[in-house]
Amino acid sequence: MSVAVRILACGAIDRGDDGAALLAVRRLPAAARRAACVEEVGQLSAEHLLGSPGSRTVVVDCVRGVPAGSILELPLVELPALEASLRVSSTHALSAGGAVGLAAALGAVCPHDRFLGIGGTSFAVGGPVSMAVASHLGELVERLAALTLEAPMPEAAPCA
Amino acid sequence: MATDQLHFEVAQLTRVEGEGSLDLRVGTDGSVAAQLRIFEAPRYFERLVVGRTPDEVLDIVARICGICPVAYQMSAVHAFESLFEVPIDPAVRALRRLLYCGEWIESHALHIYLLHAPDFLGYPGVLEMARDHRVVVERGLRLKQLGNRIVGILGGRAIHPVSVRVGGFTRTPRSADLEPLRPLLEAGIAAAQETVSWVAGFDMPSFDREPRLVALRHESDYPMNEGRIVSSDGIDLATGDWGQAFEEIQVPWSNALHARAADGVPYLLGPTARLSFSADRLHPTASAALAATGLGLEALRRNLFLSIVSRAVELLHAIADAADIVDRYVPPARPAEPWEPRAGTAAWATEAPRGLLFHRYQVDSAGTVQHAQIVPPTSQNQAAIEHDLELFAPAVLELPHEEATLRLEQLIRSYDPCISCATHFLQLRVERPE
Repeated sequence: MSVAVRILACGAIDRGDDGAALLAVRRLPAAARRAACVEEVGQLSAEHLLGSPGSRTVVVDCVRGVPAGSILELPLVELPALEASLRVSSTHALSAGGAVGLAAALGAVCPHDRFLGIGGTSFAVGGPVSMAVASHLGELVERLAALTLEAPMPEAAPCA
Repeated sequence: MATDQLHFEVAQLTRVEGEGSLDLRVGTDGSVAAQLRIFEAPRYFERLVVGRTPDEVLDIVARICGICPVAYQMSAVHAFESLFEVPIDPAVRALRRLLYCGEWIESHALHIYLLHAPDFLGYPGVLEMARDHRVVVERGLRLKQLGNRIVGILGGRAIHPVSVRVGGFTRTPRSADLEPLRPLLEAGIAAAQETVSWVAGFDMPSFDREPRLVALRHESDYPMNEGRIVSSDGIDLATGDWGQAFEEIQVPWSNALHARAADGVPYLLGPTARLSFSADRLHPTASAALAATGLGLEALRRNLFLSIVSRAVELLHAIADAADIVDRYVPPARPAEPWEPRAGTAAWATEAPRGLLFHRYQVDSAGTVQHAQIVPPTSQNQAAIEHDLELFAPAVLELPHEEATLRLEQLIRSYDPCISCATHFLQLRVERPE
């Protein structure tokens, strides 16, 4: 069954704030869950973004480098630039922005695809979600539900 | 004493896993000295596992690498099961091979398409390559995804899997759980066949030398989890006896221990070595694809730039082998056999995507680890990388400096180095003032 929205939730549930996106998708209202295909992907890879023509993709993740608990939403295609501005990099794998950049180069990121993030501050293995993230998790869920349930997107613009 | 005539420096190696640099100096007398400087911070895993139970060790060592966690689990679990004499159900053995196939597929596809191919096609990276070779890069990503899918089904998650236990698995899949893999594997075989012919057509730099090769060789299978440690110059050891012929040494420019044979001569691990010893164990599909390239084993062995072809042949082998395992799969009677700990030395080597990975654990009568030694393939390959850089450098000295530097980097990437794996074992010595 094809769905209008794919939600790719990133992070690790056992690493404090890094699990925020996973907690958010698990708390999505039933109506939103029915409208979306939710995938908990752990670390975002370019291949996660391939092969879903006709769907809007929403990537949800915790973000380091912005105020803890703050919610940010932007076109997915702008994630690499945000990442660069936050001076986030990885020598061990493509970062989320790198994965989006590669997928965009392959024409797999469309203008209507979105990134939804929440600022995190505590990522220790086995650690709890920080107070800042916990107190804004409801807002993250609401924004995610709204993105999922909002009016159908206009005639799909061609992907880059 | 010779002074430097030329100095090549790559301050940050790119398109390798982890953090390292290259320093290569050419003296006025023509002498060449290469140092692969690994400055990634040490990670102390060999200390982290002390005091832990065997099953805890399996989850801890998987964290050494996000690309080859299965290799760490496989070397460790076979070491413990060998010491404890745990009988393993043939179906569990097959599932472990399938799990390892998943890792090989993911790792080899990642290296061929995202890390190494840009060198041969003249791109600084895969992002730039993707704009001109969209279909090719998508093929690579789907192959990588196939490997991740296999590991995810068997291991509970695609990265740092959690299902391997001494005696078997925490749970084993039903036949129906593996069914979705069938069409993906079928498509994967075709994609891997295309991969072999694609990389075999690359314009390869010339580089001819006689390497010493070391790998496992198994009596019937292409080597992954079992076999004997063999070398191109006659070493033939049981899987747990790595230390009888090889040793680790510290060099001042690397946070990763080097490994040498007893005579001090470097040796090469990985797809080239495995293929050299076990081409007759390849899946017929992979064997046919290799033959169709027209490249002989001698050429693959002597020119390391051709390692991308060896890796592609192994990619195809792993997918075809995985397809056979899925076709024949019958779930085991139970996911894991019971076992009793005993004191002694648990030692085993398996074939990680990058080559032989040796583990040795001293355990007490409760099975608790007292001492650990983990020897990853990249640490063993370091000396061979430096040796080959010194042999290869004269061939690029006439090139413009930037191009020569790129060629040297390309050679390093031919080893598919995994630096983060290599730096986990540095001995920590704290000197405090009186």
